[in-house]
Amino acid sequence: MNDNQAERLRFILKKHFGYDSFKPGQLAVLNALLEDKNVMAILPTGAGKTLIYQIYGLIKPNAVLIISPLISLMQDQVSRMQYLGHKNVIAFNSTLGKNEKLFVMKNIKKYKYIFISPEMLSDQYVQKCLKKIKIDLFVVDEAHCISQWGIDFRPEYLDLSMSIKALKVKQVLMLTATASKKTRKDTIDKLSLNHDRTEIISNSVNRSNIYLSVQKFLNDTDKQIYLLKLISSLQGPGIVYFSSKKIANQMSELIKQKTLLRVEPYHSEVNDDDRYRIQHQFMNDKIDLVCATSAFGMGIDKNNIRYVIHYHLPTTLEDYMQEIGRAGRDGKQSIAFMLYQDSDINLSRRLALKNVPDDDEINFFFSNYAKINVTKHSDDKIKLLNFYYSKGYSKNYVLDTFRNLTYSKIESLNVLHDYVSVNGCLRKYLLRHFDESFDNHNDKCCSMNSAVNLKFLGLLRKNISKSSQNKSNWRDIINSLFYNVNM
Amino acid sequence: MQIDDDFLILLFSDTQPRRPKLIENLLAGKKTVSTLFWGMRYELINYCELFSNYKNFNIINNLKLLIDKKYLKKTIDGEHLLLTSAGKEQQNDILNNYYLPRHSEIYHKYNILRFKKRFLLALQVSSEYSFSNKKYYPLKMNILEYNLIKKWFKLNKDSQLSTKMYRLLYTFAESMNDDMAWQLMTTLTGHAKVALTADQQSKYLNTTILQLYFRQIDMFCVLLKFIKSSNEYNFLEPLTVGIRVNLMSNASLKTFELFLDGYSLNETAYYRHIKVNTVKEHLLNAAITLPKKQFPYNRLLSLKSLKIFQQRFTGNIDDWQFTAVKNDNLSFFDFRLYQIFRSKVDE
Repeated sequence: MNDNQAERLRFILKKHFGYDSFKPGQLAVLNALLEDKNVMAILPTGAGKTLIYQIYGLIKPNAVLIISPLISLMQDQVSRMQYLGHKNVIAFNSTLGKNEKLFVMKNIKKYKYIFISPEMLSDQYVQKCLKKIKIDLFVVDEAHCISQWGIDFRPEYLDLSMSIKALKVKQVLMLTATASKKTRKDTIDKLSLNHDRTEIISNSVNRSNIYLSVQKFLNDTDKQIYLLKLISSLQGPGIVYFSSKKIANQMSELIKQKTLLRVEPYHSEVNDDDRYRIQHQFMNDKIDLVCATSAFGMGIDKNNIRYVIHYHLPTTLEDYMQEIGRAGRDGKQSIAFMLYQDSDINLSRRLALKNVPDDDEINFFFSNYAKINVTKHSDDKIKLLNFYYSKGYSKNYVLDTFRNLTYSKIESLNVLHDYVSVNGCLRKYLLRHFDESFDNHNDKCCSMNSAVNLKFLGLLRKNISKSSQNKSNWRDIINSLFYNVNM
Repeated sequence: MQIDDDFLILLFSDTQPRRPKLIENLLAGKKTVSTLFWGMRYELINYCELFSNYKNFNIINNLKLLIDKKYLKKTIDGEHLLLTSAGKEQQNDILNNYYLPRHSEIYHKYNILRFKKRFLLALQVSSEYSFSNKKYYPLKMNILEYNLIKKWFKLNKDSQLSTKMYRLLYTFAESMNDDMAWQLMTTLTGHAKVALTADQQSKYLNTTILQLYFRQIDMFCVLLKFIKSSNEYNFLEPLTVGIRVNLMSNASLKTFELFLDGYSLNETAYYRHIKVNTVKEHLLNAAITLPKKQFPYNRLLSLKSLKIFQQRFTGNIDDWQFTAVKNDNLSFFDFRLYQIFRSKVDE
């Protein structure tokens, strides 16, 4: 990159975002984009991936289209951009009502940053509308989802390559925090991009300021007791991840009863108003920890999270990296715990394969298609199979696809199972999965199934008081809402 | 939302058998003729649509537990429920201490939840503006509503906005008891201050989430009235634009207006592009939801038919059967309308 260009980018960075310098990787990606290349950017969580397309949008005259896999993530990102002062941002997804959707389509030219769900992008009316505008950059956020979830949960991802063609997209930016070599190739292939015109920029996924610990248990009771003790002595704030909403609720209640910690559950069944409140109370340090499902935290920008605990196994090691990556964005010492008992793997297997049709189901669907009223069906597997059927895929292709998927899901779980059984350095195992080598194990690296010296790590909780939880006077609240005003 | 047993007990009677599914539909806002008619007969119509914003609203499972606890019992037909004597006793105990929504006349006239969302965003915007802060996360909301508040803010952002908002809130909060005022204040998100969740509020106030919900509905009903009552607050008038609603559906209202203009049932059906039977359903909805004087019963019930009805039916209106007039050349529509007419007479 020439100096002038770098200087110009730094100027924009300072003017619009207030930062003096770029984080590692950001400048390299912008540079490749400015050379008209497609880019796959593999940068660890907290590296500032969003800022890349924000800046690129400020340089280029036309729209930036961002494909985002999760609605909750999308809304968080839009809020974040609005927070930063971008007014022309929109989240285009299924949460929009009919009138809102019409409004957005009518005013599509006014938006600079358009976040859109893959489903919405597949809609022919939406595509027709998007054809009216010029798109400078097509961003696929959480791009590993194309390879990882593309087939079962998000079949619409298969259409992304068609959308890229239909919308005459000039450039594609794929963003992810974690992608093994296999995932990288698969993602670029699924988007039908030319490998030669696509630059892969990757920084190490290692987060050396996050201590890794695996703790094993014989039963649930032991695990619960350990968790209660752990969070009482750990410096917060923190997140505890669960794979079940019900258990997240139960544990949140239990923590409220048994400790002085301020805790709230967060998952898809918490209503929108409360989700905003919990998220922002957490951001303002009014909550010590959140008992969440994976929906929490994807878009939140909180630098001082000190710990992430997995009460259940995540879905894949990629997800694990993403989720623990929410800790220690300020660069300070943080910690990730995986609490594991043998039965967890069965629960994970059940959850992972819940929505994957097996051979019998696929055979039944293809032989009885005429008799099944697909439009009325709420069964996810039926909808999924119908997607393939309606696109003209053959039964054998579908059988193969789902056999492969089942195999890769089981394989992912095996990888996780290996992680919790590692004999040696956890970080070494973790990084090897992402094709990185690691030999710098030290006292602040990791430990397997042994007590962690929190004091040594500087993560021992200093004090807990409930003083801030006293009920305030309503007159004080109203006075705090307005600056220098009285009756 | 967790539905309180106490609330459910208040929905039943020890003398009038009531259909649980119908009450559920009424609360969820499924406004069919039968739901509205029986809602009126059960004197529960004020609670219509209280839970229309909740998907999969269900009380049947909770009711099963109340049957197990012997507060409710099934009638012989198995489709209705009655309070047992223990249930009645429980109801008497609850009655004085349980907060039920009191402002259905406003709730059924305005979309209060929409007004609430608008007000909360307007308040947040004003609070941040007061601190000259432009960097904040706005409350999440429908784009069209968001634009409405944006327009409102553009028109109103001046040095007086904070004072005006502050005065409104203060005066309004002072008109309530301390707990209600506290609940209102902790529902607000503003500069460096995030609202509490309903669960957090319920723990502080030692009450249920449902009780807080009912109080909140009333609070915003009264706030709406409050804003409309004084010129001092007319800067907030734009927040009340386009939120008028009716207890009867819009379709029923359109049909009823045509009929009021003097068109016959057939003509109304023709102009509305609907079946005559649908016109009749719409008119029944109108009759149920309107005060007696506002519905032209005389255009639909002839003196002759009134006479027949009077001869055939006495006693409890709930117990009347259409079969008693089936051979008198009267329709079920006539019969239902007469039931409504008489229910209103009895008011």
